[in-house]
Amino acid sequence: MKASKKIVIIGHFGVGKTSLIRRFVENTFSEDYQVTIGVHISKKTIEIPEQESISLIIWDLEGQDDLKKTRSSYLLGTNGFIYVFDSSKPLTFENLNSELKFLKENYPNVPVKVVGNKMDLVNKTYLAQYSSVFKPLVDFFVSAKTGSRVESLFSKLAKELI
Amino acid sequence: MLEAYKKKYHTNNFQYILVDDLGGVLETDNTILGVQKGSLLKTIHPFFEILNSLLEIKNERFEFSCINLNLEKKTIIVDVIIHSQNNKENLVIIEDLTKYYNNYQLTAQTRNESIINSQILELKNEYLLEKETFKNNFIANFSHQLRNPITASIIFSDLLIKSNLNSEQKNYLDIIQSANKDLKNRIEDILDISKIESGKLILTEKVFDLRKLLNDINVGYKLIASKKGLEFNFEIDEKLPEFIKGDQYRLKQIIGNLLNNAISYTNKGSVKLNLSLNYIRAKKANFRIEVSDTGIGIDQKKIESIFERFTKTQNNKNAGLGLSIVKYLVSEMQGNVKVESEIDKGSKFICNLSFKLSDFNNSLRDELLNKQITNLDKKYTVLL
Repeated sequence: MKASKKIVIIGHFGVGKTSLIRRFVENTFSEDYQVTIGVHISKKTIEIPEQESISLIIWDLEGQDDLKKTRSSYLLGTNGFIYVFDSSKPLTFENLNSELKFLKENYPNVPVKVVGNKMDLVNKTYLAQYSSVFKPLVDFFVSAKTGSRVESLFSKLAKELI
Repeated sequence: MLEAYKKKYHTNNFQYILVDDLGGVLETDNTILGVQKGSLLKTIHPFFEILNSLLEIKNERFEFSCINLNLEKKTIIVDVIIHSQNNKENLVIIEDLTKYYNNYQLTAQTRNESIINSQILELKNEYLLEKETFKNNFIANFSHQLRNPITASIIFSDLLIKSNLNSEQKNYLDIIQSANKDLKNRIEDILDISKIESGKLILTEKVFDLRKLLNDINVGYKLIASKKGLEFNFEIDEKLPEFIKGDQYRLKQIIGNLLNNAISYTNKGSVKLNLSLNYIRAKKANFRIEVSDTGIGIDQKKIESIFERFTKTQNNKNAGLGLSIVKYLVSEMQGNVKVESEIDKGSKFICNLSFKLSDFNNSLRDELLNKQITNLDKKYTVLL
């Protein structure tokens, strides 16, 4: 039987959580912003080389500026978190430390991937400016628009869940 | 009868499904989701993949709100209650709240878009401010570096003109000196503009002798105008107070820039400076500065933009920064400035400014001067 794992995508609104999932699941992208209310759930099965395939049940949560405000029922039975922020907007990663602390305290054994989206909007100078925040905390810089590193992100997390 | 109406208007938004511990459908009323008895609920939508793990916990109630279910033919937004029970019959209640949540979505969309747009504006503003600061700092530094060589050029050409030169050489040097002064003034203007834009230009408030300041202006500009063959007329209202409180240097700059502009655009005739008292109220004197000329005038279409930086005027001549500095200084002093003009007849710049009155007067000045002299004497005595 195929393993099925629940992955919850969290982060501020407008950071591109839905776009990231669309890129991964449907390989599509739209510039138009549509707010997510509540939760959208999608599923994708991926093949892990030399191992069994895995079904990722991806919960795309409504954006929140404070993780504590998230409905706790949405987080029940989570196997992995992806915390998404907008690399071009410091406001979306200024509380990164406290948000991650909250996750680690409440879900100690659940892996978390910290992802900076919208990489296509920033340059190296900008990244260097925030390197003290990014270097110790961020696992992936991706772009839902170009698709850059989106597959790698989900594959890496999936491997950790097997 | 009532039952008939109830049937007609009542919409059933609930679906009740009984499932086993693996999420297999035991019984359902099929009002919202079309599910078959014996099928697995998780085949309907990936949301129900969570059932297996939840149903392991017995006698619990789990509530999920605002779940977007993208089904084959429609998308609905529902609240779901999962009630796990001991008897291998678990209850799943689905409430279709699509209408309600769609309204909420519209509100949330407007709210988020407005927040995102304001964040984008803020970022753009920050970026523009950074660019502006860089530009102002660059201009200020560059202008400072230009000031040193131009000062040396002014000093040495002043010395050179006193040496033995023939008339042709003197003429050339006159041109060099005039160009030097012009360049120096432009550099000063650029420095002032960069100070204004970076908010570093601060007005001082000190008591000064208004009459003396105006007399100095009169003497200086009479000479400048005469060099261009222009008549310079100066009129001052006797009712103007002698001592006022404010920024003497910037007031001189306002009048000076208006006069420079008038002389620059007048080829024949006269330039006139007139100062009159508008009123004295609340220990403040409000007076009117009028600078008029018989110059080339300003096109009515361009009159609105005359106080903007580097505005081109008649004959495509560049007005530079002088008037824009005047506009800024006047507004900083809570005054106003306007211009009236007619092509080929001349222009009139009118400026109204308020200055605090000072208790300082001539007798006080004499008294203070005497005191200073006495003090100096005393110091001198002590030193001896």
